[in-house]
Amino acid sequence: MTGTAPVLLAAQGVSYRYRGAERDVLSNVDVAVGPGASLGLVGESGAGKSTLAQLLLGLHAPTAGRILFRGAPLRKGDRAAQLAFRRSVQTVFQDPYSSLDPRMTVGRSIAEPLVSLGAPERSAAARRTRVASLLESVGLPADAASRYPSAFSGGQRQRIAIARALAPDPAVLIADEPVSALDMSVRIQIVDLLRELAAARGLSLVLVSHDLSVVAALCENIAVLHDGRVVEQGGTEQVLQAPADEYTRRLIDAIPRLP
Amino acid sequence: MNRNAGAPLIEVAGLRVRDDVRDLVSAVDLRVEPGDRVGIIGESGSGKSLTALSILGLLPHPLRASGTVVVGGTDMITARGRAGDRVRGSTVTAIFQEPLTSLDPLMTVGRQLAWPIARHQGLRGRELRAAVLESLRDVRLPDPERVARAHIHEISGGQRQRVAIAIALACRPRVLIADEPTTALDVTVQAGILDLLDTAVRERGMALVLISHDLAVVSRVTDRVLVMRDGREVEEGAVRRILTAPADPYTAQLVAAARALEAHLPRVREGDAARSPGDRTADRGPTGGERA
Amino acid sequence: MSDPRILGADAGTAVRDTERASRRRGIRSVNLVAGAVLFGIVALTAVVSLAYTPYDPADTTGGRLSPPSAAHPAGTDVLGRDLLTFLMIGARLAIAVGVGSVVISAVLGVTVGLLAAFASRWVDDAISSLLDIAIAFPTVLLAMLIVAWRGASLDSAILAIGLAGSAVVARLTRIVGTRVLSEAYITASRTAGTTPARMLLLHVLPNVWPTLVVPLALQFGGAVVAEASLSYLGLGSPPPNASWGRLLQEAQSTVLIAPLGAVLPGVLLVITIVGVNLLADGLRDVVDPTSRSAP
Repeated sequence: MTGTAPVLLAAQGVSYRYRGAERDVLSNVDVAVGPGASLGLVGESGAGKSTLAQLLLGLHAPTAGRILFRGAPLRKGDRAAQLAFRRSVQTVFQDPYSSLDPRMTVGRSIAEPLVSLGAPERSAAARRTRVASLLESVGLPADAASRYPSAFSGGQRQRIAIARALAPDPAVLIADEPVSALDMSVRIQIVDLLRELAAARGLSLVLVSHDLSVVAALCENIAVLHDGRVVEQGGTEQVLQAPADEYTRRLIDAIPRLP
Repeated sequence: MNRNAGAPLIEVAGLRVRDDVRDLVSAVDLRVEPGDRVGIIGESGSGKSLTALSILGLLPHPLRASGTVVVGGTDMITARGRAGDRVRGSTVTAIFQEPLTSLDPLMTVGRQLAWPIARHQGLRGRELRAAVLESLRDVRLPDPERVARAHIHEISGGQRQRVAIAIALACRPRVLIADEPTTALDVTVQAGILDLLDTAVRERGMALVLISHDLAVVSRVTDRVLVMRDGREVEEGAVRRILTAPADPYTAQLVAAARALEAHLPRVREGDAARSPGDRTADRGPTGGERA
Repeated sequence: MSDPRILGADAGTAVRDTERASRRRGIRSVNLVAGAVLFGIVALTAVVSLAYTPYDPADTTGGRLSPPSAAHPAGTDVLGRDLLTFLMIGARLAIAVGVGSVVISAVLGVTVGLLAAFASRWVDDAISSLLDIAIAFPTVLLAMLIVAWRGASLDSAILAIGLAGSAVVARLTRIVGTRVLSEAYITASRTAGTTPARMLLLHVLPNVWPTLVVPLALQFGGAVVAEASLSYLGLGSPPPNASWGRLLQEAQSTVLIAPLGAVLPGVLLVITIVGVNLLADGLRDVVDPTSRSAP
């Protein structure tokens, strides 16, 4: 975390323990991402990275520490502040098959944040236009809006999920293992899409992944989590070339490589 | 069993797997000789797992196979009951992606392992117990006594997969089929499992068929690769050749995608390439103990 | 049934596609058609009875226990009333009971079930325990209590059967609701800023109700039988109640002299139940949630 760079979304001294659990799944974690910057959260299963993503999304409150958005801590009661937060911080989930309601058309799914968060598009027609433009920006045809998720492949569903996340024009996109469930040939397409969109919209990107190559492709900064703690963080290239921590080194070495 | 020195362990020719509506696999040929290390690469829907199941004679009911599938001299398509059982276990065994579902959750590890050992090696009592522990040590599981007493949900994912390998090897098969054996595992654990497969297969003079969507994984452990797509064979050849000079556009696309993602990683350091597989022991955590 | 996780994603997909293909070929349409025909006969009879019956139910001029004739195609009962008239009115009662009790079960059961699914752990546990007790409570006993409170009538029977059925619906709704709430699209809805109330209407109910359609349809059949039993026991509406169950009860003593009096109500009961069950099987495919969800 660079000292004087502006910070958009941050976790400060955050710990989290599930109710009735014996140990913290996250301990004293400090990470931050600035406007237009990108942060990768890497680690293996059980490292706590998905939990951290959920805390950054305000889905749970940390058991210690706080989540700061634009310098102010997230607070439960204030509905207006909550809506403003949700407009600014959006997410894409890992499983493209369960992140879209199978009983809703694609268009309605993408428009849901527009309706719930009070978008400028008031009429149904205005929303339809916006949905069409969002679909276009993720490389899907406008007529996809009238179809159901089951008509689409995993990669296409992730594109739809990305379109939905972009609907309220957020400042931060938190992507939790966005390509892990996808075929190899599709992964690189979605990675490229995320990179283009982040650049075009000045989005801050927080990417959670167990796959270091995806993080290396998309994130300027990286935080390595192990057993709920951040064992190393810094510029991605620097950390990968010269890891200071033993665990980070093992993680990098373990990646199966093409000859 | 009279073994013809020239006969392949697995001979698949013109394999076709069909359900009521369409062909799921068509015109697949594969030949595995003793000691071969073959990979099958494909994405989801490529038919690679169905091919493996056809070889094992374990296609689920509505699916039907036709063509030639001969394993250890037995025709697996027409083999019924006992004939198929004799081949499975002694000639060919398999490990799958998720040991939580392919191993028995109710039996202890020791009991699950004892059964094939008793059956294939004819041991009982104290000798059997010793053989069970030995076989757990062979797959580099630390504290074999504890593991033998445990149930599968009480051990880690990597340990479970080692148990699955131990069970598969206990039958002393001549060829092992591994279907996405490391896909569900953490990356630091994957390397250990792949090394284990590599070593175990070589030490026992077995053949290996490794199925995966991950080119890097396949290229590490196999010599020859079959690329599948939508139920068809797309290309076959030596691993190196496929990776450096793929003849088919689909294969080229797969290789390009894999290389593009890898491009952002630091280059493999010289020191790592020199490290031998035997140095990496089971699931070592940062403090040297096992990770759950 | 093969587990796709063992076989790998492509094998699982292949098997599921096969099942879908079988359904597409309409293997189940036989059920739907047969069920619709059988149930249709009963429903039509019920509707017709509203406008026309061969005789007035109070008309006792037919001659006691007379065999089938041109004037009385089904014969007469022990008081000289036309049996066909009573069978037709009985159809109307059966449908009324089925619909009424299913509506009560559905409304009450879904509400309680969703409450349990949305609620915190200990509220959910409390509701589950109450449901277990409710399910164990015999319907007949419940009916007797309600009759003691409100008097014996068709409404009392419908209320009792509806209440009894609602516990099962609640338990099922709770399970399905909990599963739906754990899906990623619910979390996505939260991050989209949707309020829980709107989420209920937008996501939860549409994904829960398909699983309930078949059990509710089966409850219809169960309700008809239950009402027949209650009437047989004298807990249904008082005479001249035309319920098939009461007809069976009355015919008990005269079954050897005039068998039709027992056989016909029984046959109609069977036709109704079988018809409803076949319809439920056919409906299962029309609203089958797996045909629209993830491969």
